[in-house]
Parts: sequence; structure tokens; C-alpha cells
Amino acid sequence: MSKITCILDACTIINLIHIDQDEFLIKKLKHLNVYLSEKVFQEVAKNVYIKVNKQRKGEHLKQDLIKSQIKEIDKKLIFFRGNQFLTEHLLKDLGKDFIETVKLKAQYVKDNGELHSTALAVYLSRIEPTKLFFHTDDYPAKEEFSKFFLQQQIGYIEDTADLLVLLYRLDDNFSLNKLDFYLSELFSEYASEVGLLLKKLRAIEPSKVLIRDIEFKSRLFSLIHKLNTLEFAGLSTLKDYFQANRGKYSVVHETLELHQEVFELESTSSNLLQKIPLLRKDISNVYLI
Amino acid sequence: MTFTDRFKLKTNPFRITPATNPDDIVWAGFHDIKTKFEKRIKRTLQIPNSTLVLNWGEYGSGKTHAARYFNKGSVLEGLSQGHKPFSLVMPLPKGKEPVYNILSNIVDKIDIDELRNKYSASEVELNPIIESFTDNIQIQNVLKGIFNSEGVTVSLLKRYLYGNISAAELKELNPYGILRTLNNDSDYTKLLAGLFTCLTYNRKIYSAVIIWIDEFEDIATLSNSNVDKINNFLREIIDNTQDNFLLFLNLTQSALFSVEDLGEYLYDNVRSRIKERINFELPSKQTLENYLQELLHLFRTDDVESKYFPFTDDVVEEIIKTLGNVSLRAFNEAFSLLIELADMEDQSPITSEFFLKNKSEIIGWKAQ
Repeated sequence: MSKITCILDACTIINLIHIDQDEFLIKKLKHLNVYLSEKVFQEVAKNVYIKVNKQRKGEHLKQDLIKSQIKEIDKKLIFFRGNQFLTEHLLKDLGKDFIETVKLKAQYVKDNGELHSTALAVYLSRIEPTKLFFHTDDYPAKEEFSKFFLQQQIGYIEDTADLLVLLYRLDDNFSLNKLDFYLSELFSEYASEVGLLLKKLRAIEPSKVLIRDIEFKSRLFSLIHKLNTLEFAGLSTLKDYFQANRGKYSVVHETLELHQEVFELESTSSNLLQKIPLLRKDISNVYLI
Repeated sequence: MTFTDRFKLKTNPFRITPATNPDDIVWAGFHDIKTKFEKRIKRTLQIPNSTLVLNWGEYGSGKTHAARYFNKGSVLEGLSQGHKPFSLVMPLPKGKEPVYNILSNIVDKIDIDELRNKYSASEVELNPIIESFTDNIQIQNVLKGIFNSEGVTVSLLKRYLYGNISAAELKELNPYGILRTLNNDSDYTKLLAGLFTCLTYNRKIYSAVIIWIDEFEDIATLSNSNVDKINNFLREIIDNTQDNFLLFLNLTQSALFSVEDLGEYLYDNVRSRIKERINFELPSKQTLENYLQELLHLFRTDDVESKYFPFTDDVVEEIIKTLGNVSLRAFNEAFSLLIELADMEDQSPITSEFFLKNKSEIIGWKAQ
């Protein structure tokens, strides 16, 4: 039994599934006590095929490659399905209103995978003395829960890049080149989405109805500017604005809906796209015995 | 009153994104850049060599427009003395198999029936060329299959080239010596190089092959393995297509990709093959004035008294001064909004008073 417990969020699992080759990372995860909440698994099962479906629609992809990608995903899902922690066990041990209590104490409003993961983290940190990490690439959620994790002395909230470094240091057969390879794959997962969204937004020309709408133009310009400069603070406020006015601004709203992953990057400090290149530069500094 | 009656213009000439319909793609101003491309293309059409050119500039500086303009049949015809070149513009592929995507883009563009007819009429004997090009029998037979009109049916061949062929269908290709599917980057690259060599042999079918890879800066969003694949492809396609081949890479500076990063994404063995770098500088006042005059002239429906009509000289001066050092796209955007607003308000000519009155709607929203 490992002394390290990792609770994985849906975005981390989906990223691991997409970047992993020949189940290399999944095999390495066996060095850890990996858990995911039932809610997270449901989110993964729902969203993990989106990328393949987008590729199928948007670009040339050989039929056999699509089939093999789907097969690969199905295979990798087996590991994560087996590491689910069922909600009923949680509620049975700590009471029916446990998740609601965590929600209240953490002052969180959504009932999503991040909340269920946090509840699971509270539970595991209380029943077993362990070094505990919650890995998520959803930076806004990470920032929202960090105070709660500290206050409750649960453990650490980190991202998938950190998880890759952890796996590297735990396994002698995980080479530095391999680590660099996976960091670059992870970077590409997000960078390509940002690039794609940026292109789509730049191609939007205001219709005659919106030509005098300064608010629309300035917010769209600001959104483009943030994506172009990789300064993501304030992205969700802009997204919320277009969502609230989706009747009028349907083109922008629908475009943003197709690229949800980009909004996971919003951070008031360094974001994942800024962090990974720096990590790769200093990669050889990771101390190994 | 219609837009045309009011402004004596066919339509709004200021495009924010480059046109896709060849009839709508025109060239105005920027003579230095235009000449550089014309010279480079003519050189490829006259001297047998293989060339890699890097087009570098900020976002909105006109690289995609240049690619689309010089991909137009009529423009290429004007630059050619004999047969036209085979030309194609494609974005940098970003999927799992970028080299396969490049092959697919090119297969999309090739009309095999037309190619076979042109080949029959050319009286060229390609088999010896194919055999001397590669000792890979599989690739030789696929190339022969493409050009031989007595051979494989076009639909089956296209499915084969796209990699979407069943085992039973593959058996139908066995009599032509095609015994396996194309299954790696080396196959795709070799096949493309062979195809380009055949297409341009003695310039009898096409005078050259010109490929534009647009949005090449997206290489910075790819994983290391795909960066390797793209670099290997570029190196091999240039080395294996020794003549009549011109490859343009359009590169935009971005937060992920700056000039200093070039070495990180284009390896030494590719960079050493770059023959020319064409820079799309931010336009000067004089360049913008020429551009504006020529663009308006291209869209005119009637004679007018002033060179910038429907704009007055002072509004042109005012906008150039207000915008300062910006890309052509920003300039087009301001003029496009201005003319649309003037159309809505029935304002002609368009004066600096009108611009100043509507300044917040035209450029005011750009404040961060």
C-alpha cells in the first residue's frame, strides 16, 4: 500500500487518458493510492470521447485510427472505473448530508466533480493518516478550494503536470525524456484548444445588428486579447457575459461552449500553459536518489 | 439608395478576414511584397530546384491573403509561360497524424481522371522516372496506379490513398502490385515526393508544385512527437522532391511563438534549407495610402473626383494618425466599420467629422 493518496479530478483523468501511450502512465499510477469520486467517473465517461468526435468531424482521420483511439480509451477507462469511490459508501459512513456539509463549509455553489472530490478528500484524510493530493487542471476550482484544503488540513491541490513529476520521482523506469514527452503532450492538449478558440473568435465579424454594440465589441476584443497573450485572469467573467446574453451573442456563446477546456486554465497567478514550459526547462533539477 | 449608389463601390472592400472565393481575392498596394512572391514563383517555374521560403509577420499582416492570392488560377497563369503549377494552401495539420493529414489534403485536391488525361496527352513515359525515383516497389506501384488510366478505378484508388480500404478491397489492388496499405509517415512522404516528381516531370503536366502551409506558428501548440514528425516531413519532402517544388511556411508571431523560438520548432536540418525569408512589416503611412487608393480603385463602379472617394483626404489622414503603427487588419477593420456606419446613416462622402463622431464605435472599444 502506497503512502501517497491521489484523488483525481475529471479533467486530470481525461488528460491522462489522452496523452498516455501504451498505458505507461496508468501502470505508473499503481505506485499511488488512486481514488476518484463516482461523480468524477460519470463526468469522465461523458466527456472523454469529445476530442475524438471533434477530430472525426473536423479533420481527416483514418477510420481505423478513430476506432483504435476509441478502443484505447475504453481500455484505459477500466483502470479508473475500478478506482471509483462510490458516493453511497461516503454517505453511509459520514451521513446523508456529508457532501452538503462540505459544500457549505467550503462555500462552494456547484454540485460537481470537484465538490465530490473535495468531500472524498476530507473523508480519506480523516480515516487514514496519508500524504494526500487532489489533482485537477481546473484552475478556478483549484483556487476556490485551496483555502478549504488549508483550513481543514486535508492535503495539497495540484495539477496534472505535478502528478507527472510525482510519478517520475517514484519510478526508476520513468526517464527524464519520458517526463518531458508527457509534459509536452499535456501542454499540447491545452495549447491547441486555446489556438483553435482564438482562431474562431478572430473570424467573427460583428453583424449589422451588433455594429454599434460597443459592449459586445470590447468584450470580444478583450477575450481575444487574453487568449492571444495567454493571460487568462477574468476569462470566466467574459464567458458568463456572453452566456447571459446568449440570445444576442449566440455566435460567441456557442463557440465558447465548444471549448470548455480553455476556461479551466483561468488563474490569477501562473497558469498551466505558462507553468509547463518553465517546468520543462528546469526538469533536470528534480532530485532523485 | 444602395451601398453601390452611395459609395460607387461594388461592395465593402475592407475585409477583416481574407476572402476564400478566388473572385473576391484582389491585390492592392504592397508592391515590394508582391514582387518578392512573383519573383520567387517565377524562379521556381524557370529553374529546376526545390525551395523552402518562410513568410513572417504579425497577425493580420496579410500572409494568408498572399497565400490565397498566389494560389489563384488566374494569377498563376499570368506568372507561367507553359503549364500552370499545381498549387495548394493548407493550414498546419494539428491532429495525431499530421503527415497523413497533409497527404489527405493533397489527395483532396487531385482529380485523378483529369491527371490521367493530362498524362496521356503529354506523351511522357513516367514508368522509368518512377522506377528511378525510388527502389520501394510498393510506392512505385501506387504511383503507377495513379497515372495508369487502364489500371485501378479512381474511387478505389482514392479510398486507398485516404487509408480507408477494407482487406477485400486491398485484394482487388494486388494484381497491380499494391500489396499493403500505406501506414507510416515515411510511406506518405515518399509517395508525395514521387507524386510531385511525376506531376512536374519535364513540366509536361504541371510546371511546378507550390504548397503553402498556413498558420505554421501552431507548431508551438503541438507535442514534441508531432513537432518531430513535421520537421522530418519537411526535410524529407524537400530532399526527395529535387526539382520544381516550392514550399511556403506562413508564420505569425504569437505569445507561444516568437522569432527566438524558431530554432526550437524548426530544426537545424530544416532551417538550413530555407532559401528566403519574406517579412510582412507593419505598413508605413505611404504604404497604407497606396493600398487604400488601389483597393478602392479595384472596387469602383464609376468615375470619381477624389482618389479616396467615398472617404475625404482628411479622414484618411485622421485614421492613419489615430491608429498609429498597426497591422493591415486593424486598418481594414476601422475602415470597414466606418463605411458600414456611413452606409447606415446615409453619409457620403465620409468625412473626419463623421469619423470623430463615431470614433468610440470604430476604435474606442479596443481599450483594454
